[in-house]
Amino acid sequence: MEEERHFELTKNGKAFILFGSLFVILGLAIDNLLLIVPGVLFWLVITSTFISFLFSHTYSFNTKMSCSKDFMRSRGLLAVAVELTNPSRRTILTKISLSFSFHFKSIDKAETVLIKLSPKKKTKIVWLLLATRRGNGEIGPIEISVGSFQFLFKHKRILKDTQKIKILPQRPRINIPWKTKKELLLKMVHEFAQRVKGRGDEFFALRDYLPGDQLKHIDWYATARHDKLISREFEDQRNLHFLIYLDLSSTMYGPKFEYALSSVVELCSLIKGTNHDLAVIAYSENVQKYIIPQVGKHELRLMLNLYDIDATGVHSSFLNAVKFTKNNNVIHSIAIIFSDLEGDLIKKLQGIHLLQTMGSRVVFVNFATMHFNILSSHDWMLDRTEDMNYGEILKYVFPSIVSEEYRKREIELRQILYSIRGDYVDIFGYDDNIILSLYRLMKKYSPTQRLVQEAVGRSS
Amino acid sequence: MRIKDKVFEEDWELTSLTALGSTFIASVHHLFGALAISLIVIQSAFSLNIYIFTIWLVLGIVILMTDLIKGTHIKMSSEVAFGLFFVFGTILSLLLANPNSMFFPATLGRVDIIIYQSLAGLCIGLRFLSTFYYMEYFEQEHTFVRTKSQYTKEQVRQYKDNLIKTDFEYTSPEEIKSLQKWIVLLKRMLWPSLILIIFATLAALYALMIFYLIPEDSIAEYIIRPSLILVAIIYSVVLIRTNAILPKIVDVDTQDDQQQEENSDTVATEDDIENISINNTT
Repeated sequence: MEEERHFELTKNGKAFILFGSLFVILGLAIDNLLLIVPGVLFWLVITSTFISFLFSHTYSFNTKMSCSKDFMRSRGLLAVAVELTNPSRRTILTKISLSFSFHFKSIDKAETVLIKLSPKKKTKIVWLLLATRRGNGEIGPIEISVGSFQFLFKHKRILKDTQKIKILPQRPRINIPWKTKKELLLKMVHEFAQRVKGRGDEFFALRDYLPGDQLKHIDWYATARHDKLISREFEDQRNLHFLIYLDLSSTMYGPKFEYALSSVVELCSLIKGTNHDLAVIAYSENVQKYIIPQVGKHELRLMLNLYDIDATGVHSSFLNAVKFTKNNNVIHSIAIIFSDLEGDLIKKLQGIHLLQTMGSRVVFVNFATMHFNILSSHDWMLDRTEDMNYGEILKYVFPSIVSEEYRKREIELRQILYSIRGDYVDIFGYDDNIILSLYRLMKKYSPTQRLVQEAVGRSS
Repeated sequence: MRIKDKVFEEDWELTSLTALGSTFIASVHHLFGALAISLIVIQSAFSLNIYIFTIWLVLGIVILMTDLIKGTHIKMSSEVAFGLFFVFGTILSLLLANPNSMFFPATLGRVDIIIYQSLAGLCIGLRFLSTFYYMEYFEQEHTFVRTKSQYTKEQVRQYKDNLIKTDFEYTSPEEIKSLQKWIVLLKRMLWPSLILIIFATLAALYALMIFYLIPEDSIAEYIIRPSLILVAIIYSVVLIRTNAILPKIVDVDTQDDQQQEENSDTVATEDDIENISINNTT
């Protein structure tokens, strides 16, 4: 392991040599013990550091650092083992500090430990680290301080070895069995695939002719029977084209975004296991990233691209993202939008309308529930919070206003979505799961549920 | 605007701990500072010197206030400032001293003044020593996370259990206790104090020699003190030079090692060749 040695008198050390000399000389000159005593003490300390250096500069350690994994999930645990061997015949007192990037936090143990290394014996120190942030973390270097008074005379061995660790978004708390996931996909295919018109070649149903239908799809026998134009509807039972929009706006910033991203990843990994197509658009003001996971050796790399996305901290425009889809003719049959209710809602609604004109089903996944961190614009609460304590605002007024505003926006969005046969899904906090939410949604489309709904509709 | 990670806060507890006993050391540090200055103030009150009394009272209040404001947060820069304050106060008092004051340029053989001076000096020395000790062992505030919820407790326990009999088996070596730290500190100061004692004895012997050779007080005064000052200057020069020389000693050592390694390599190759030739012949 590459080792760097540091031994130098620090600024403090120089200052204390000068102080010592000044105190002693001045004290002797004016015959005053008041100055001589501390001056001699400074000398004593400095001399002791020099002597301890002379004794300890030949010490060498065999050091080894290893981490239990290279890839890990956020909120996962990592063990870092540092092995130190003291080949000399003396017991050495050392201060060992492990440095790591901001992605980690040590569990139950400080980063610096002060231990005695027994002679000719291997000492192992294990740190348990918790990954708190997603990204590219780094473990190392290790600093071994030998000798006392390090702030006066720096005497350190820095082992420059660092290990890079990729931290992926956190693992969902709920483990959903693969069977459920498969069932969900089947349901989605059954429900959404039939709405792909003009694509696929399997006959699905007859219906009244609508302007815009191709002439070749007109069923002339049926037309003759019913005395009106009837056209055939086809479905694509085999392939669904998923298009996932991920909002990177400032309002998503924080753990909420992490959760949205891990949901996207979960959904992607589900879809990638099948023969359905998938594309991910990460957008803020404009489209930031357009990812099409491919089959083959690049598949993993492209999927890992997802993990490097971060919220950008500007207001996002969903309309621009949809325009990008339209201009580039991105094929899609289901658009799943991972976003929230905050920010510019009108642009979101306009985008949804545009999506609908492109003939895709829209599912809006809302992360703006009260279970997540709340980020709201200050003008929501301006008129209500005059002459109020900040603590009270946070405790009582803020959540109520936010929930009220959320409800208003949710109603507005739901109305638009239902008018275009879209769907709305809420994620209720961190204990909820995207797969489960979609499963709940698909239940709405089950035949029994549909019969009930129809019955209710008739009675009303 | 607020960002809160509710799940993290429910599961983990951010803990920051200062090293055990750091408050004690910090309070000892403050106490010795206050004690030193109060000794000076009391002496100046006894010596009926209003100027010195006022100067040190003001300095004392300033130092005490800064100490109290900073609390257990001892910094080297503030200690340097304390030292400078001290020198400044001493020089001012020197100008305003009367024969009863402890700042008068001669003790006139008065035992009480010598006791006051040495006690105050000792307090200041101990204050600095406690600073060094604090910086050495108690400076860093340790931050880490602790498990809070049952879920994370179980998670950590299971993870530790799974690491048993691997390279990462969880071990926490015994850290050094507070008392041991003191012992280490004192042990490390043994050698230098011996050296200093030898220096001081030599200086005293030299002074005594001059005193007996030239028994007149006035001449002794002119020779003993300057010679001690000379020793002090030489010692500080020695310290400064040692700082310059030390890294070179290490360089020479490492160079020697390297050269030895190189030589041993070449020798070994020659030996090898011979051995090979011998092997071949046999």
